[in-house]
Formats: sequence, C-alpha cells, structure tokens
Amino acid sequence: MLSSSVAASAIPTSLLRVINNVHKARLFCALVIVIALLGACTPQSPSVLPSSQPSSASSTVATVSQPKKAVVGIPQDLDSLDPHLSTATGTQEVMFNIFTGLVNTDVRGAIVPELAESWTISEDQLTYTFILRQGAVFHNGDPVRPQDVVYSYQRLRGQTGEHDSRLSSALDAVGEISFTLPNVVSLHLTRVDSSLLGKLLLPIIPEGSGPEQKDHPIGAGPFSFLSYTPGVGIRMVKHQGYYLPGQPYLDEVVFRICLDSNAAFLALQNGEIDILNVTKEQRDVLLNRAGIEVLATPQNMPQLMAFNLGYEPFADIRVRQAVNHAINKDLIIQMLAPGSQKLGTNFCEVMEFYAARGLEDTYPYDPQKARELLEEAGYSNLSFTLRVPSEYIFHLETAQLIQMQLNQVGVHMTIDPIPFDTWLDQVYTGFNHQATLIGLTGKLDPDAILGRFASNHRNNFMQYHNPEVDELLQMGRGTAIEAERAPYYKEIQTILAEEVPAVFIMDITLYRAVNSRLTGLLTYPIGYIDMKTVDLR
Amino acid sequence: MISLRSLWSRLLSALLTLFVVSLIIFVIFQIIPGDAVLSRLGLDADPALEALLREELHLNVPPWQRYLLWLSGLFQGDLGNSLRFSRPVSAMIKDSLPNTVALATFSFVEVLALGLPLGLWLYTAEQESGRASFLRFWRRLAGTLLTVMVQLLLAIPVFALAIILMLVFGIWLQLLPISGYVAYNVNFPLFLRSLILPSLAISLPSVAMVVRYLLTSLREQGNQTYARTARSKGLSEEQTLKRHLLRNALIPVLTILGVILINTLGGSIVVEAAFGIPGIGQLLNTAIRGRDLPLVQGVSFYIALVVTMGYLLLDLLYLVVDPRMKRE
Repeated sequence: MLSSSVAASAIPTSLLRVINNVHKARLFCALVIVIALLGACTPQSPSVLPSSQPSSASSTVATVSQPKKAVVGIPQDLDSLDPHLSTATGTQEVMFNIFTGLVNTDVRGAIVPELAESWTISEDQLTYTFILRQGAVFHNGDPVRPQDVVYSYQRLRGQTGEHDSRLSSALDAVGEISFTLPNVVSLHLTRVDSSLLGKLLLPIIPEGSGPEQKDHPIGAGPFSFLSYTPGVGIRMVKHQGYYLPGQPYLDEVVFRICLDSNAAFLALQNGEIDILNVTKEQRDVLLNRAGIEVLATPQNMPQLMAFNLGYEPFADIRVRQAVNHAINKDLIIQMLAPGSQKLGTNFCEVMEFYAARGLEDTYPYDPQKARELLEEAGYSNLSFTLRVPSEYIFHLETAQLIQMQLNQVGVHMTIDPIPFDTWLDQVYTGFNHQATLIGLTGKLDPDAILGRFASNHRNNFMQYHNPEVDELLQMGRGTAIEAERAPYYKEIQTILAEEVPAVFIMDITLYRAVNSRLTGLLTYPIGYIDMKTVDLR
Repeated sequence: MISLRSLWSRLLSALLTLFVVSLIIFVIFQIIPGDAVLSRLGLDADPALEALLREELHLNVPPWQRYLLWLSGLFQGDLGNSLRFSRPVSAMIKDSLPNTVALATFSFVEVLALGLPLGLWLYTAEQESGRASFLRFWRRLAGTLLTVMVQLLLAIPVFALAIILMLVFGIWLQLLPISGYVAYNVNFPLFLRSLILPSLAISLPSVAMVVRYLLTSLREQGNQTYARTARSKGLSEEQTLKRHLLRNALIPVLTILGVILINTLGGSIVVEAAFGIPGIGQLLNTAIRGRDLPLVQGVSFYIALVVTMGYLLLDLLYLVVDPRMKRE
C-alpha cells in the first residue's frame, strides 16, 4: 500500500517538473508543430501534380503501356465476399464481375451460355444436362471441371460439411447431381422447376475453396479479386484466362464505396469516379456538362404503392380502385423520372417474353371517378398512413406527389418515413403497416417477380390472397417451356391490374452517369454492373 | 493531492459508466425495430440462408442470454462477432482505429497550429494602440475579418463544411482529392494528402472554438489586478502577456483542447462518410444501420473508454498544470 502510493505520487511530480518549465515546454511544442506541419506539407506539394494526372489524362489518348483502369461508385458496402453467403443486390451487381455461373443473362434478360457451352432438357423436364465450356479457367489457373460444379451446388445445399444446413433454397427441386468426365454435368430433379435455369447464375467456385471465399474470393468471371477494404471498396484485375477473346478490356476495376451521395457526385464531376448512379436532379446538372454522359435505361424495378389488404378500408376493391383513379402516374413520371415506363401491373415491359401489354390504363387518372367510388364504398373521408423507407429520396418524393393528388379527392394520407432496416422488419416481414411505397429489385424469372403474390409467400406484405393467382402460379411452375409458361403469367398480370393490390406506378428509369472516356457499358434487367464490355474510348 | 483512493474511485466510476453504457445500448436495441439478419440479406433474402445465419450467429437464444454471454466474453477480452460481417468485432475495430487516430492526430495538430497563434494574434491586435495608424487600420480590418470567419466556422454544420471544402479544393482549384482514401500502409504520401481535407473539416470549427476561448480567457486575465500590477511595475504589454497572462489563460483552453481530442478520437460519422474514410465513425454508422448489436456494443465500448479515460487523464493533467488545484 505504502510503496504503491509512493510510486503513484512519484509520477506526477516528475511530470510536474517537466511541465513547470512552461517557457521551455511552449518552445518545444511550437517546434514540434512546425516540424509536423513541414513533414506533412513537403510530400504534398510535389505529389499534387503527378497524382492528379490520371484525371487530367482522361482527355488524352491512353498509351498501351498505361494500365486501363475504371472506378465505379457504389452506395453501400458489400455484405459478404463469399458468393454463396450474400443475397443483397448491391453486392451481387459487383460480384457478378468475379463470379459466373453455368448460365448468364443477356441485356434483354434471356438466359445465355456462360460456363456451360450448351445444355439439353429431357422430355419430362426432370433432367438438365450441361456441357461445360472447353478452356474456361478459374482465377487460380485451374480449369473449370464438372467436380467444381457439383461441389458448388452441394455447398449451397449444405452437403459439404462446412455448414449445418443449406445456404440457399434455389436448388430445392434438384435431387441427384451427376457428372461424366471430361465436361458433362447432369441435374436430376425431383419435381419440375420452371425457374431452375434462371437460378443457375449461381456462382461456381473451385472444389474445396468454400472456407477461403470470404477472405479471398476465387471464381471464373472476367475479373479476379485483388483486394477488399471494408468501408473503402474492392479492387479487381483482368482475368487473363477469361474465355471470351479480348474481354475484359480494362486492366483494373475499382468499386469504391460512397456512403455520401453528394460527395460521390462531386467525385464523379472531378473525374475520380467514372461510373455512378445519379438522381434526376444530378442528371439535370450533368446534361450541361461535357465529359460525362448519362445513360437512361429501364431496370426492371417496379415501383408500387402497396396497400395492406389486412387494413379494413383497403380490403374493399372500390377503395383501391379509387386511389388508383386519383393518382396521376404520368405526372409523377414526368416530374421525377422522365422516360420511365408507366405500369399497370407488377411487371415491366423490359421482360418482353412474359409481359402483358396495355394494362397501364386499367384505372386511368380520373379524380371524379375516384370520389364517386369512395362515396359508394362509404370511405369519402378516408385517411391512412404510408410507411416509406427514408433512405430512398425518390420514393419519398413520389409519396409527396401522391399525397397532394389524394388530397384533391379528399383522401388524407400521412407519410411515415422509416429507415430501410426497420422497414424490412416492420413492413416487409411484419406486415405492420396500412400502405407502403417501395421498388422491387429486378428478377429474371417471372415466378420470382409474381410469386410474391402467392397467398403463402412469406413476404406477402400486401396480404393479397387469390386462389386463382395461386393456381396460375402453380401451373407456371409446372413447365419450363417459355411459350407454355407465358400465358399463365400474362393472366396473373391481368388479374393484378384489375384487382390492384397496389398502385403500380412505373419501372423506375436508372440514370447511370459514365465518364466519356469510357465506352461499351451495357445495362441489364437485373442488378449487374457488367465491366467486361467496358473499354477506354 | 491526488490520493490513491480518489484515483481508485475515479477508475471504478469509469468502469461503472462503461457497464451502464453497454446496458443502455442493449435495452435500446431491444426496443427499436429492425433485425440484423433481415437487414444483412435485404429484399431478396433466401429463407434457407436466413435460417442458417440465425443459427450460426446464435440469434435463436433469448436476448438477455446473449447479453450475459457478451458480458462474460468481455471479461475475457472478447467483444464477440459482428452479425453483418461475421467477423470478430475486435478485429474490425483494430482495422478502423488507425484511420480515426490518424485523422484525429492530424486535426488536433491543425487545431494547435492554427487556433493558439490566431487567438494570441487577435488579442494583441485588440490591445494595440498608439502605433502608426496605417498599420493599425489593417490589423484591425484583418482582426474583424478573422472574427467574422470564426463566427461562421462556429455556426456551420460539419457536413456543409465538408462539401464546401470539396467544392473549393477539389472541383475549383483541383488541388486535392475529394474521395479515395488511401490507407497509411498502402502509400504514405497519398495517405497524408487524402487526410488534408477531412482533417480540415473536423479541425476548422474547433480552431474557431479555441480562438474564441483563448481570446475571452486572455481578456479576462488582462483585467485582473495582477495584470495591472505587472503593467504598473513597468512591463510592456507583450511581457505581461508572456510572463503572466498566457499561462493562466491557457487553463480553460486546455479543457477545450482535451474535449476536442477526445471527440475526434471517437470518430466522426459525418466526415468519415463524406470522405469515405473507414474509421470508427463509419463503423458505428454501418453497425447501427444494420442493427448489428455486437458491433455497436464494441464500438461504443471503445468510445466510452476513450471518453472516460480521456477525462480522467484531463483531470490529472489539471492538477499538474495548475498547482492551486492541488492545494484545494
């Protein structure tokens, strides 16, 4: 006790002596500051010029020796590098550059060969046989073999011992998976699964590489993983062994995480970021600016104001029709996203094989009709609350326009902005809302798009129950032949357009700003920033 | 006199604070809506993967059990695993810490290098009289301008300041990068360069604060009787300032400097997000948005630690700097 108190008091007195000499200490501090500042400044001034060169060099023609590099700004961090452990669209649109599946999608949403060169489907639609592409190799140099396909699918089904249960329900219809060397893989189904082919974009990884994927992802895509810094971004370099001749054209691609959209927009204008999704206001700014182009493309993302049919007024179809009549979709599109496709059902025309056309004016803008219907239903003083994810300014602005339009027919709508994470829990899973406004991410398969209207769908947040739709969905799942499937889905679209469990507003046009030094960027009906076709101009 | 007992009781109360902080966060997380797995998987969550993650992250046990588990892990130095990233929380903090410490150090040096000289200069400019009137006029003008700047900097929100700095130095002057933080171990000169704007965004309001405090404090000391005595015994204004006023005036400023350092070490959510710096603030931001309780607990544990220990050190430093306090 005594010795420790002596020690404790000894430290302050020695410290005291030092600090008592304030004059000396002050001089010393000043010296330290000056030295620190000098040290900080000297490396800056010479490096200002050379390192700002890449952005200024954008106007000049790049020489062959210079590595070709592009920077893409993304609004959120990746949830996992392991391709089998992430489902977030924001992660997939990046990782599709590193991982490929047996098949891929083209710009129209059609399924095209990727690691599988071709495939055949048996008469009973229960056996899928894939011929693997000759010469496809993983980033580690190993060829893509049938065993790798089997391993990847078994891992997804939780059969490799790495996880206790399955990682995905995508392959639930698949029973046995067999292969014949050198290049044939067969999937034997226990029941017909019409959407199977679309699910086979699932990443193929080298046999046994599962546990390493979360730290060092290895796939067979056009770019191979270089480094990842959480909160900063991911860097990838050209995969020399990619099977398409010449592709990818770029040597390096950086996906940079930009949490602050204003700062990201400044970085785009400054040439630090080459590709960035922008808002309409930002697009308008860029229209008068040379050097940056803005692509406007449909993104297969239906925006809808969804009713909760469990909330009494909305159980009455006349109320839902009235709200539809009261909303001027053309005006909303014109003000918020010019060029967007107006919708009348939960299906975008960009999926041309399955889209039923001419449904967008089933309940045209007609405030008078809206008032009559509300009166008839006994809800002329209808008021309700709309829960909107607050991160999405676009949805909030849409909600404000709707609020004004509904006001004109005597409907009082309150907007309740909530964080998206809360929305997922409260609205999407808990159905704790009266109405909500959201955009649904693009899907390749009609069942994935319309399946959410099934009575037993776990995210049936509209609480929509229609036995006829359930049955049509079942029939659609019963055949994998496009021509046979399409009528069922068109029928469902027609029913939805008439019963309006939501106000289907638009397929939100995506504004993607691209620095003019780049060319060749394609857009897809799913979240996919495909960098393999991008080159310097 | 700092007795050992008072030091112990201070430490004990600091520990208690840490515990209460963790308890409050835990309770808040039980009340606010949101779910870590749902927010990790998003709109297109696969039910199979969701079930697997709930199992692997032990989310199927009651919350209070998880809290007790977390507490017992804490005593063994284990902060648990992040729900969103499936990585140890301590490793994630360790990755973010150098960036925040670098930013804080940079900002603090700027605060010292700009704040103290400017404050002093403003005071002397104020005191000046009887010199050549031409020089006096310019000093006065500069002083007024500086005062206006200080007021502005005190009022402006940090996010706006960040955007203004980007506009001026990044877009108009094209001098400095506005995004693309470079880690210190990747390229050191570029790392320093990428820290200039963010550190300014953090330090400028603090510089203004230090200037204000120093100025007020100097004025106050200048009106004291001992200052009058010093002047009347024939010391010049400069000598009075150097020998007597400054040391006394610096005591309240020391508090402000300490608070500034403690605050910056806790990370800045706004500045780190604007400039894409993966520091403590950004980690906390991601954690809260993703309802990642272990990560929030870990980061706030760190921040609470910095704050409690920082104030403890500050108090000790007081006793050293101002011997009068020791006697009380």
